[in-house]
Amino acid sequence: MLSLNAFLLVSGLLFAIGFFGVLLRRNTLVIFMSLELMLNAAILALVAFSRFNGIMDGNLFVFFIITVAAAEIAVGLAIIVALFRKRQTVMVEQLNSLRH
Amino acid sequence: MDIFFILFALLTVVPAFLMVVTPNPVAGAVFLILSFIGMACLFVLLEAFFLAVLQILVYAGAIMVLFLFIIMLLDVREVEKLRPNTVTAAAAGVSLLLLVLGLIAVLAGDGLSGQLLSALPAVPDYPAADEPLGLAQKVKAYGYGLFTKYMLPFQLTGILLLIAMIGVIVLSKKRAAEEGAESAGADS
Amino acid sequence: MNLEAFQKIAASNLWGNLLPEIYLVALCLLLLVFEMVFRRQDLLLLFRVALWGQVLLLVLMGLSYFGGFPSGREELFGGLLVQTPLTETMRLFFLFGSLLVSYLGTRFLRARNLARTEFFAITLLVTAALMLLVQSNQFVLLFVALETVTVGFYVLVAYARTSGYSLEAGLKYLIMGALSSGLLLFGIVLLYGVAGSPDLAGAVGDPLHFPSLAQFIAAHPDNTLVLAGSLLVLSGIAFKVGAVPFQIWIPDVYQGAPTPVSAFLAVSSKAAGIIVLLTLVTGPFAALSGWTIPLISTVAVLTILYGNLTALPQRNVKRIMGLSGIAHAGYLLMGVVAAMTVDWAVGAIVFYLFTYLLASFGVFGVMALLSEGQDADQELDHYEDLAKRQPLLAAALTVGLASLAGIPPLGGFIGKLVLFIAAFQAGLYTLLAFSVVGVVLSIYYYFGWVREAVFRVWRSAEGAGSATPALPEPRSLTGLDRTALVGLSVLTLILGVAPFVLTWFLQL
Repeated sequence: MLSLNAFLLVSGLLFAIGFFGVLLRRNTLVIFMSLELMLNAAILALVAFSRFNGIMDGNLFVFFIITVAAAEIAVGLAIIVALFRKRQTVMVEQLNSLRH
Repeated sequence: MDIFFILFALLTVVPAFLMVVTPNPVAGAVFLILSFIGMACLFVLLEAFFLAVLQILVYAGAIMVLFLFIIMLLDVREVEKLRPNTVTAAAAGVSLLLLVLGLIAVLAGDGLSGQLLSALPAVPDYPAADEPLGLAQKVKAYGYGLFTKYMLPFQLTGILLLIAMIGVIVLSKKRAAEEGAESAGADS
Repeated sequence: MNLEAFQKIAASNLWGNLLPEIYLVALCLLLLVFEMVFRRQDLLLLFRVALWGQVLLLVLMGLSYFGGFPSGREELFGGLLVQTPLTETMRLFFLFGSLLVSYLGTRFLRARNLARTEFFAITLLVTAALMLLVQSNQFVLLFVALETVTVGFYVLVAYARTSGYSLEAGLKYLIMGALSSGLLLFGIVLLYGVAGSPDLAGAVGDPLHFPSLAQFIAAHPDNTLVLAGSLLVLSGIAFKVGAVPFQIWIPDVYQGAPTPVSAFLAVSSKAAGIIVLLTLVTGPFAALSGWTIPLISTVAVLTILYGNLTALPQRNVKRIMGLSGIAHAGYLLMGVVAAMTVDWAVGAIVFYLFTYLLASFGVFGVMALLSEGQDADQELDHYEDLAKRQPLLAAALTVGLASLAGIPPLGGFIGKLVLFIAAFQAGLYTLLAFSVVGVVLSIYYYFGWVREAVFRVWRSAEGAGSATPALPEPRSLTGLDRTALVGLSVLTLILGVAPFVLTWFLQL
């Protein structure tokens, strides 16, 4: 009884968990991992749609998403490391020097 | 098929949830790797074998190892407070609402739910001649798609990677002038 | 495999139509090679190569228009890319913006011990990606181009890595940007899935292609997944534009980023977001106008009010520019709503963007010239008596701020006027009323700034000793600084008194 909805359910759950993590967590590294989870939820839905609709474009799109995610993570981790060297923290609530 | 799906879906969703709630980032990264492996298994069920391999190699292999490296390099001693305050509670409410709405939207489905996975025709090795970009599973079919229709975004990802490369160097590398200034300062 | 079919697909990959983008990438590579060959980062040399290279491109593009400005609509690269007069104008816009950012960047880098070549290199690459972004006609290219721009901006915002402010702004932009990309991507995926579904009547073969998607959405405007997908896509774009409720990152990021990058974000990034939004709501989402018009109108009202009200009590000038930039995004959103019913409103948006570019770069230019050392902490008090110390800077600042506020003889006034007329023709009376309130509010805080800079001069004779330390005296202005500031002010004035250029834009 395995249909498209089952895959979309998993994908929707992952997206919601990722979004939840971004809002709930204070550690920027974990926030970043949650963002990756959101991208992956989108990839899963994309592959499932491609299979059920018989179109190749979605599977090709996955390549671009993975590349984009890799580039984003490389730059993001570089920023986090540089900031940690400066401030000795990765917690969001301590990053509040930019005010008025 | 169904039992495999349930198994893989649990392997994907449960570690993902644990990643979000565990206070230890190292454990979180390992949970996320597990979740990505589960997702690669789901790709196999969907007959996207090449993407399953990529998922393991690039995501679980390269990206998450980079994450683990950084987490261990920084060696964060601060303990994260998971005590929810009002903002967090509101945020959790919003995301829960999103979850419920998303599930309703998905399951209401608008007539999308028709086909069963087992009833779908098997994915051919190569696309049919009259439909060059039809779904196919051989790596060659992916290559033809990328290098004809998607040539422009493919080149653009080259630019994207160049930006990322330059960016990481800018953000991480100590400049020669900086070192020079420091050693000069030490001499005087 | 049918190779002829693939050859047919590849036949429309006409790289000759992308020469400006290719030129920019080549210029970037040339700069990187220069650094390797000469082994030292001679700022002046790098700057000359970057600046004159871009001026040359501007001249070449200008020369190519002697054969006639491109007209009509041409789809290239198998429908991934579309070239229209609008995209051609935006190419010029982004090139102009990139030139000014390179100029401001030189001034910024001179005072700091930071990597130099890379700033110009990333600026050029981001500009090329911005050009592709406004020309994209398919979601894959749109996503990749948007992400290229965004990743470039992560680096640029965090560029001053010796400053904690800049890095913190970079991290905030990173998290917000990645979140918005996630929303946008999930929206794209939902649209892709529903539009290609064989279970629904009228499913299309290439659901990521804008015209095909428009066809599908016109047939199924009430489908839940279409609604969810388009809402997520619009939210993702709203993040980039900085529309309420996705505006929270703007003040912090604008304050922390290096001044040239704040200007780049304020002008080019926002313009790209607005044009992409325009393409989407008049293209694939045209059939959804039943709810997109009220939605974007509400967002525009909230954006205008939020931007202007929060800018009122601000003292930090970079936050003022950020928050007032939110308000400008609100006016532009009103233009987008108008453009859904009135065709010539597109020209009004483009004209407004050009006046915004000139005025913003004038103001940001003065800020960059004044902030040799401290970048993020520029307060209004630092501008006290600027007219006495640096008359030219004060004059350029006054012209720029007056144009942003929309004072009559300047370009900003005409820009607002045509936008408001377009909104009036589209029947957006409530929106128009809120915009007028917003403009009145904005005059208050823009004038407060001008008062600090100019009108305090006559009062300071009474001997009200200022307790705040003034900024260090800026170094003497070079000929280029004078040319740039005077040029921007004069162009603002020309667009105001002789908007005959307007008719040219309105032919879009």
